[in-house]
Amino acid sequence: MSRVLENPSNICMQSCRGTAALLLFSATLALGVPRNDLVPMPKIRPEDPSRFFPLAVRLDGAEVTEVAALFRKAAREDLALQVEKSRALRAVPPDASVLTALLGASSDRVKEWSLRGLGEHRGDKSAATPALLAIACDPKADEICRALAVRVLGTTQIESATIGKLAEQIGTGSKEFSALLLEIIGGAGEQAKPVVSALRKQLSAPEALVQYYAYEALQKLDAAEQQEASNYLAVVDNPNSPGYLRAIALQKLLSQGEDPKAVRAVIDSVGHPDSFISELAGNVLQRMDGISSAGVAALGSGLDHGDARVRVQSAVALRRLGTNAFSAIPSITDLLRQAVKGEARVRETGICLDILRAQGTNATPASGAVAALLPEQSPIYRNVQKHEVDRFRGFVFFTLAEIGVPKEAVPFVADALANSDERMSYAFAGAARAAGALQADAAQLVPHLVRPLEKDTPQDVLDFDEFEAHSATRGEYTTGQIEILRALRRIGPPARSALPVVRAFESRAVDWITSADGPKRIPRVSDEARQTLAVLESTRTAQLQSQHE
Amino acid sequence: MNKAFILSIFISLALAGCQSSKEPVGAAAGNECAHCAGASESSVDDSLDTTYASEWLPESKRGKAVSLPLFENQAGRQVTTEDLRGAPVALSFIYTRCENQRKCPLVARTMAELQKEVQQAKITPHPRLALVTYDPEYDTPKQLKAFGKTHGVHFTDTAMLLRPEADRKEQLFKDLNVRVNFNERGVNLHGVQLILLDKQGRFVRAYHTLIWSNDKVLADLKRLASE
Repeated sequence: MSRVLENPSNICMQSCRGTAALLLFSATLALGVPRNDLVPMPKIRPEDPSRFFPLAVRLDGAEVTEVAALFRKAAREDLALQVEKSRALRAVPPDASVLTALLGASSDRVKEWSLRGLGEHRGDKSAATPALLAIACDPKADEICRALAVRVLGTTQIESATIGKLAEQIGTGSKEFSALLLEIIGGAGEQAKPVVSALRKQLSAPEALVQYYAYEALQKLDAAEQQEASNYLAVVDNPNSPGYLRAIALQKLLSQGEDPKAVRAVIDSVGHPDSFISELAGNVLQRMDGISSAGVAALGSGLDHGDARVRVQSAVALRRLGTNAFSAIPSITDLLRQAVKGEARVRETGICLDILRAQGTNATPASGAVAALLPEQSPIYRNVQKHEVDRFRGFVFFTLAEIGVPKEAVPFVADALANSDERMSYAFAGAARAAGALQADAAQLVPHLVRPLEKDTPQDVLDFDEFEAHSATRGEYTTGQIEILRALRRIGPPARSALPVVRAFESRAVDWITSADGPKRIPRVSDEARQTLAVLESTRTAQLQSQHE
Repeated sequence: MNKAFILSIFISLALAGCQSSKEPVGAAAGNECAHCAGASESSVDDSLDTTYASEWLPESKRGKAVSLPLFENQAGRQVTTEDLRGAPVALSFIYTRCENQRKCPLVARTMAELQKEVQQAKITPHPRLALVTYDPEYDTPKQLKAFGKTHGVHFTDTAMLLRPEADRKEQLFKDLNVRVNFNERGVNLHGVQLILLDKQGRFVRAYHTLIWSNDKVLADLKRLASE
């Protein structure tokens, strides 16, 4: 008994039988799980498995000597001279035999380049099979090279004997390598039939990734057991469900967003100790449609989870709901309070700020909790990179501008405006937006606000659409200067003291950024300056008129 | 007649100026206009604009003396708690790797100016002025000396750059509520701050957010010296 408990895969196998008896998955279900982007792929290969990216490689002295010798052995004096001259491997030769010769190099760098070249090679490369197999089957070899060798083998018809040797390699490297082997074997068709029993054994592998890829391989070979399913939720909720069954059931919950229990089950699976299940559950959660208000509550409770992955995925799912996430504001406020204590990280907190902005002034009750993120000594900034700190604080200010700036945030707005340098462009721009939101109450901030208009410095192009995105996802870009000009317009008459600075800026404003991709927009700073000037001058005229009267 | 008229206009303008000087949104009720508060050097400035300075703590409301670690100054000499007692203390914070000209370099230059003003004011006992580094791991006495010199600090027994013991810096910053944070590379975020301690080493007031006014700090130091 103790031996069983020591081995998680044994527990898995025992419970698997029970689960399988309870839940029989139909062939339709099994075949209905196409290779899709819900399922995390082995991290060891690119998204497009047909690509190998043989980029140029610079060589050291020993590598040049070795490569030149291998080229000469392959009777390619021209290539040997070329590599001696350039000291690099650049254009991939069209001759597969030359690349095959390089597979014998001692340098992993050279070997990798040759493998990538062979991967892209479209002609006959059967002569390379023994060398490829030797690399794939060498547990001491660099795993990147092993994986490339397996993938290159997968680009041609593989013989049964080769498949057999590849199947023996499952478990000799990382789980990612095993999953890749299973993917290639599953794609080999009839030649892989002799290894079906070896694949079945992998259904009880310790890692869900390996189990699932074994299952997929069996599917492709029409060798998976035909089972029927009636309750996916029960599979996901059962802590003893084997990984591959759990993975299949999770995908089926995609269409059950209206059921809060399904939402809850997916959220809980994000916190699963197996990273494959966790990532798959995260992918499902981000695609679930029709999430009801009860589902929103479930997502809100996910923000309180002890596992950061669950908090992040719950927040991302809530953000996708836009204004429908309104009822989660109390949960978001709680998360912000946790963040102030250092018990939630910048990442999920930033996503929660995105959710709050979508609620506009309906989220005003959360403004105090948002402002509480501003003190510099707050544990949330601990061990965060400087550029992330800047972006996060920029988003905090920007969020306050949308939901309401409480008075306790004003000194921090002043600090960001007065003390930011060019490395703190998000904090400055966000603070400028917050100053604008204060309207006439921001009069005291005007001297700090106009500072960057007084000199012509290149502006960082910023986006405030989504905290985690690194480009504007739907709206427009902005800059510190644009935010200043907009803020001055909103502050109105109290910003009249800025008129000379704005006038001087307008006369020399250069639209050094004039285009953006697709529907995204970068406003013209000269237009912004003209608009601001018009507003400030009209308030001045009105003032003079009233004085005259 | 003319003189009285001009005087009345002047007074009216001065008052109008104070009224139109809008109170900060976060200012506590009853705060004076900043101009009025700083108008007289001898005036007691209890009700400073609390947006950028904490309220003056009267002696009866001050807590215990702040527990200070052992420091090393820019000359490599040890500075103990006793060296910082018996006179008012103005502490601010810098680190020599700070690249933001509007923060640590400005703080150091402002402290250097304060040093001149304190000397001219001949306050007794002579206040201690100290710039404490956030980054004692990097800021050796040599680094501190070069930084202070660059920004005009004239080193004396009462004006110094200090390096706290690295393993006690966190506690010091926590005790003094210093606005700083760190990542594995060092400082990742900090504010502008000046803290006043009385002769017994008790916290009295903090200036923060914007660079402080030396006039106001000088008035505070005089007041603390006379307690």
